[in-house]
Amino acid sequence: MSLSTLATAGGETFEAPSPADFWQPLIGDGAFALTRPMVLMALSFVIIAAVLLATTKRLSVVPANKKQFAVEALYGFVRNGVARDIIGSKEFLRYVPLLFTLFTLILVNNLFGVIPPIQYPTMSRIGFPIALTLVVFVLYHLIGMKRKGVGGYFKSLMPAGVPVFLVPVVYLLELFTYFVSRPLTLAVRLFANMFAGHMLILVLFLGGEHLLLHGEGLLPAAGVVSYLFGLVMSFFELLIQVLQAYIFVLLTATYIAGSLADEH
Amino acid sequence: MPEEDRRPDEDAREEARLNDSVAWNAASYLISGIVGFGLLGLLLDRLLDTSFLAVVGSLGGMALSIYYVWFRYGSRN
Repeated sequence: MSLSTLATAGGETFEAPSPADFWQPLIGDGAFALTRPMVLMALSFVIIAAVLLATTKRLSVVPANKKQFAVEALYGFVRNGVARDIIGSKEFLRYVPLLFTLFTLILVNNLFGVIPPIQYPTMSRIGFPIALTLVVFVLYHLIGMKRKGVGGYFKSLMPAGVPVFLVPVVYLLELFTYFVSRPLTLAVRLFANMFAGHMLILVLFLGGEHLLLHGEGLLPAAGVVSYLFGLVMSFFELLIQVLQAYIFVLLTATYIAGSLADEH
Repeated sequence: MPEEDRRPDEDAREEARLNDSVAWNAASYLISGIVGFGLLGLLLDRLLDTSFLAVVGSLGGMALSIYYVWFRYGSRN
């Protein structure tokens, strides 16, 4: 802790935010505690369900109001922009519900990171991305095995045309990619982006506050700069949050498309 | 299946999006190469009581994965 504790003036020390700050049990403690991200995940479900139900209650072919238009645009983006373009127009419809659910769920939970007074990205606790990734992981293997049979699926991991002497190592590479790297990168990418971004904002705002209130000489001015940077980074975070939700469903769609394809 | 009318530039946009998604896939191959073969080397190091196979594995894996990304995504069309 000595590195993250910074003494400025008058014995006041600044305790930098640490990963431990993300552990926020509300009721109870230990493995079965009800934590803040759990409540937020439930809240996101309520919000998404309420918004989607409210905006699609009285549907009209030509969107009658802006809300219906906005929701349709979001749905159209996932349906056409992700699912149809990547899985292909023959089979994509089956997977649109999953992709749309993943996208809205991740998007809302990510946006929680900058929306006051929530300000906690649910996905900065790695359990949540892991759970979502497990769904995707099991799904794309099952699709592949159902489509090609278990043996055929493992055979299909190997593309044609690899030089013969490289076949064993390339097969190892493919196996490792399919069973370790893919789920690992999918979960860790989402988690790390949310975690690091929130940490950065925390440091800028908490550090800025400390400099402003406890700094001596010119340090309060640095605190103002820190606040401004925090604001800028918050907007940057907004971009990252949308992008990460998009990348998650994009990759899910490419994995599904890969399992559906005849030729690897 | 409802087939909406597609603008001519739709195909080009689709192609671009597919290429984008491929770029994200390449990352997991590169990680597989370095980490997967590095771990394999480490395991062999432990078994054979040597100390150079982890490095060989992770460098060889890196080379293999770069070649393979080129093979999968770069060499066709």
